[in-house]
Amino acid sequence: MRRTISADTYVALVLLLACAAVLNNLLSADLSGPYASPATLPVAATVVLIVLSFFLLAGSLRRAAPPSEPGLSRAAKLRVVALFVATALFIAAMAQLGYVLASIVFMIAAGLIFGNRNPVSLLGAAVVAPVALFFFFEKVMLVFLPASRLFG
Amino acid sequence: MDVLLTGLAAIADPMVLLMTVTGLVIGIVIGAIPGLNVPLAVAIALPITFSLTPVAGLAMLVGIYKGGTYGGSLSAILINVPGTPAAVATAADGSALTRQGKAGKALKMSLYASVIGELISDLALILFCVPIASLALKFGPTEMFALGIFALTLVGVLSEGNMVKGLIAGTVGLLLANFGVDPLSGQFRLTFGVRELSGGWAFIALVIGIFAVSEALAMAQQSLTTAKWGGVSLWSRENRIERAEWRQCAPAIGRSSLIGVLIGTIPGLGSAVAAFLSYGLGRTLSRDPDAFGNGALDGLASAESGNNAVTGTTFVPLLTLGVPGDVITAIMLGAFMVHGLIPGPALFQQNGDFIVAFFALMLLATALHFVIGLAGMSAFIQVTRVSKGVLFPIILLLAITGVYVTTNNVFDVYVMLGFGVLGYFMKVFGFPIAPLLIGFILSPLIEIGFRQAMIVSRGSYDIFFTRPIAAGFLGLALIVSLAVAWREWRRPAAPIEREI
Repeated sequence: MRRTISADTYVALVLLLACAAVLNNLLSADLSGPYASPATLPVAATVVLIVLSFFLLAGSLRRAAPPSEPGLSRAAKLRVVALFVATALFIAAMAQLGYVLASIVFMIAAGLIFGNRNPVSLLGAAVVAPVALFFFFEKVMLVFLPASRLFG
Repeated sequence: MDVLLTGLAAIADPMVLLMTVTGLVIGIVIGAIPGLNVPLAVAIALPITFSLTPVAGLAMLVGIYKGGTYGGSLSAILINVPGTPAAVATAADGSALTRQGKAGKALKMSLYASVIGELISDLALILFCVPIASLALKFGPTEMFALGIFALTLVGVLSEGNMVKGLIAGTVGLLLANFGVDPLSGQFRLTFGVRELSGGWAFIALVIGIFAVSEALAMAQQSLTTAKWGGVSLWSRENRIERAEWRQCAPAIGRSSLIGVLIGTIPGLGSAVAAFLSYGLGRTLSRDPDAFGNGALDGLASAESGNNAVTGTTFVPLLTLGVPGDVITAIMLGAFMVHGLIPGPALFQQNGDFIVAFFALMLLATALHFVIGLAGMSAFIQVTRVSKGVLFPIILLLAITGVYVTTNNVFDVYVMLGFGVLGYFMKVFGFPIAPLLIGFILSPLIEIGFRQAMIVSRGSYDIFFTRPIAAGFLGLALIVSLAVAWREWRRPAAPIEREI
């Protein structure tokens, strides 16, 4: 029978790699303090995390992975990736396009990713929410949101 | 008697009533919006209060504080996105009840438990202000460390059935809080040469990312639909709180309110610690611990009453010692000072009428909170009628805007997105999220308490066992850990994650 590798195995390996990086950073830094240094707690937490990761790894290797369930469809995975990319682009675009314009574009994109095909609610939410938030923060809360660099 | 009458007359002013209502409405709305926080609202409202009488000005700030502490639960229940860190413990059971079509029941219990918690806290403030203050003075670094360790056992309690993954999440939370400048020595640690990390991970970015963004990513993977979650009638039969449910929740509310009262008096702890402690203890003592996280009404009641029971006694150190217990009371200290009121023992001797008015104001705000909360519930529950295709883009926009206005730093918005991805994968791989938050919240308390205690004791560990309160908390931590380990030992092994 083909032996499969469970997700827990990968997670444990990623955790062990991260712990190695953290330990390397902590032990190579010159951290000192009376009786307990700034490195004491993080080093202790990292050591505990390494032990727990080995528990996770041992548990996942000891037991065979259950039969593969029907996973996410390709379209579902694409929607998650698309939403992540749209959000990252929106954050980057806020300073260039300005808060309101970038938000309107993002709201339309996110609405489409979530499956909203109704033009009235899609455009309505895309315009009303950013404008309302802009006025609330800039006029009521007196907190400034990013202005457009491209359009002055 | 004159002092009593003068004090009570001060809150009979219609302006006091108006300001309390305004503050409560602002607080509930701010608290319900992910990313916006109560300290920000209190700070913005502070200048407005300068032109009012001292009692009217404080009425607005107290209203924002009480309303904001409660408001976080609304978004936690309705959309599984806690508006405040203290509402994280509410989200698990609240959102599960919403998915079961019982959003009305969850909202009602959240309000009732919050108001009862507040009322008990107000009464504790009024009746036992001075003795409670002397108890708070007994909490030094050693006791804070021991309390932190006791609270950390919650990680184990909330990980039952999934112990290794829960402990991993809790330890990652502990570790994440250690990035940036060391609060005691000022040395940099774990910055990896990134200048923006010198201040550590922004807590607001962590909370919003791991809840709001990860929830949005998880929603995006579901089938394309504009379906609503199904509108809920607030007064339908399944949303009524039955007598048996009251009997089940009453002990949890009483116990959690007392926890909140105690936590409120100790400077630096705050409502999130109270909510988690109450929730964890509620689960430990529950006859059906497995229901917690799956729509346990007593779980929701524990978290909410513990969370809100902080709001009264937070004023104990402020009024009696002049020491603000958290950021909000620190900002409010400004309002006291501007009106010539200097908190401390002299305030009770020289401004007795103000103290009477302030105590009456706390009770008035709690009563109005109940009325406004009840009225607002019908409006908030309409969220369940909005389609996901409209709602989740708005939640994401609110999250990004909220983190940006709080930190004024685009780097922290990217951090929020990163934590959103982490939260998404934690859900996919079956790691509980609450332990990560608990670890992150408790890490500074434990680390600073431990290192300060070691300095006080000149490196001797005896200090943790010779001070009665610290030894008591450490003993309790040991008992809870053993109980959790015993229950986990007897539990059948959990299945591991599917292959990828």
